[in-house]
Amino acid sequence: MHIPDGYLSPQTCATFYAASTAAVGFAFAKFKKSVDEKTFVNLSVASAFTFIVMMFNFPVVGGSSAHITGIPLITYLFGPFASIIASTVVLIIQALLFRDGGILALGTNVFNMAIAIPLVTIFVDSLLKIANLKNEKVRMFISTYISTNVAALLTAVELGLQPILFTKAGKPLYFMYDLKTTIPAMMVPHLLMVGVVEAVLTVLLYSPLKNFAKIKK
Amino acid sequence: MKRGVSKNFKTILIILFALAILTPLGLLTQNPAFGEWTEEEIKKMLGFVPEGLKRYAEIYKFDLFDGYSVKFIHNQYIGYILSALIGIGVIFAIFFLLKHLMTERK
Repeated sequence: MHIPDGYLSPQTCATFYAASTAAVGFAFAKFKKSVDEKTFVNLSVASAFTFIVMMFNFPVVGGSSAHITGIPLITYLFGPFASIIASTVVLIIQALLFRDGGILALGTNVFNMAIAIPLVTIFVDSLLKIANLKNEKVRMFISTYISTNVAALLTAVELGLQPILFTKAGKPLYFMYDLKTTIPAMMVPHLLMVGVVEAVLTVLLYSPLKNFAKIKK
Repeated sequence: MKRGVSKNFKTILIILFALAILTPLGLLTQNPAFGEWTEEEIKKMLGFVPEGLKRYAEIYKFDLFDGYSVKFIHNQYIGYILSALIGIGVIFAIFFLLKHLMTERK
């Protein structure tokens, strides 16, 4: 899900840099209000966890590979704002140190993963609460599954729009496959496998890790 | 309470370290992820590399740990584990710094 440099037009990159900067700035302002020493411990652990989870690539249908992010889990443990900051830090490090995801594409990658996943997770969870779904684990499963797939869909749409919007002499300037290819290529593995793995992991790990998160408060 | 925190924290560090040692499992699949191909892979697929893609792909040059392999270590599994540990170290350093900067200002 980490878009490399060159795949997106500068216009796309600039748009998402602006959106991500605003969202991360807002999350940071919210987070700053409730900050104490333990918050930083939580954040560093959440960040390190997300970072390491993303290193476990596994084969998926269609002959490519994918990884989960762990972001829905840390969203449930530490809240959406802490989760946004923790995962933004991870994406910055991945881009700067390990060339996992581009520098120009960083704003887009932050938007797809660090911002969309926590917000969609919390949004779907509260919708399910309103719908009176009392079982916390079921809510967790559904909202994790949906947020993971929303992130994949965002990536697919951003990539798939490139050859539609940016061509020169009939040839693509940046990413080469349009939505007809990118949407099934991203969504089939995420709908069938990645989303399920992420959801199962969130449900299984939440209870044992909850105590760790709680003792910090 | 302080003791509870540090004991918990130690457990978490052990878990993270264990996960870092296990990261080479993530290398078992050599399939590239969709939309994360290298220029050579794109050339093979299309017969050409899109002009803009070529122009921006190499804009950032730092490659000491390119793709979680450490430049001077030829064993990719050890490189991957080292990258995991380096990443965790850097993350902890960033939040440690942030903590100092933000609590000082208060």
